[in-house]
Amino acid sequence: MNNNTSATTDGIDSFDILIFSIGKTKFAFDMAQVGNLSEKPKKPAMGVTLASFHEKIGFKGEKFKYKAEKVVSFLDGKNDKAIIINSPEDIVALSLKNIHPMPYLINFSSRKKAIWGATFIDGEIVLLVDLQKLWDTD
Amino acid sequence: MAKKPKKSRSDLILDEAERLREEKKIVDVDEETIKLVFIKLSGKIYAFNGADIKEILRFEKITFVPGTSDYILGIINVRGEIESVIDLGKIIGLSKKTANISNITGRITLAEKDGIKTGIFVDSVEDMVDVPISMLKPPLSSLSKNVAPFVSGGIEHKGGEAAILDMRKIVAKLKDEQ
Repeated sequence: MNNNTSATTDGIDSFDILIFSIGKTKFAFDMAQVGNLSEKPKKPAMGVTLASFHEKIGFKGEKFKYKAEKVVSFLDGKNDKAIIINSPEDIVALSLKNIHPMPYLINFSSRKKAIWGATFIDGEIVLLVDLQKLWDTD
Repeated sequence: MAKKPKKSRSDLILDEAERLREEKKIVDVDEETIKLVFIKLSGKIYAFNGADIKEILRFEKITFVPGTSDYILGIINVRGEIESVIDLGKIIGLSKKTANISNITGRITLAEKDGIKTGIFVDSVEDMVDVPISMLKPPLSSLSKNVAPFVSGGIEHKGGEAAILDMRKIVAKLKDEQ
């Protein structure tokens, strides 16, 4: 596992992503946006706002039972917010060549702009989520 | 020299009938045709202009994308490219509820119009036929008021009449939905 992006003279050519599932959909965060990954505390630390991923991403009115809740904090130095996700499945290096933009109608109709692309891992579609946009857009 | 036998009235009529049939064949060959793709949706037959349908895909796993409009069923992998899939029944007002992607079966027709490419979920694809333009009819007056705005015409199909859906109007509706 490598939390650093590997660079070429043209800029980055790959970066690590953290993969997890909600329901039957796979999602991934860019590890460069992820601070700590930890067990969910019984009580959130003072001054930290916790939010469930499925609520932030826009699963309307659906309830999900996470198998093993984990808390992802932001690598922004503020330590004031964190997202609860289902237990991560993997961290893999994603080549920029393997990133697909979302189709026009998805981008067009999306109320949030947090899902910025997709990739295939073992033949399955994985949605790439911008952690900061996920938090910032409601 | 043997005299040519005089043709009977029935022979002459038959000759004329055959000449007319040949003429009709020539007209048929020259007549402009349109390819129509007949699909089934909510138990009824509709048709798309074949020029707007790029592919007919076997139904496969649709990945749900949260936070999108109700008419979006999700995305699919089409030979390494990601395409959206829309719920046509929802768009043209045939169903109020969005189809549940975890328990539906059918086909996905990959359509492209006015620069927008998307999969369209349908119950089944029934037929693909070249039809003379002269066989196209105006839209049926009995169409439901929900469906009528998306129909450009009608065509006889297997003893019934199928409404021809206009992809341009569907795409315009998709853009208006936002």
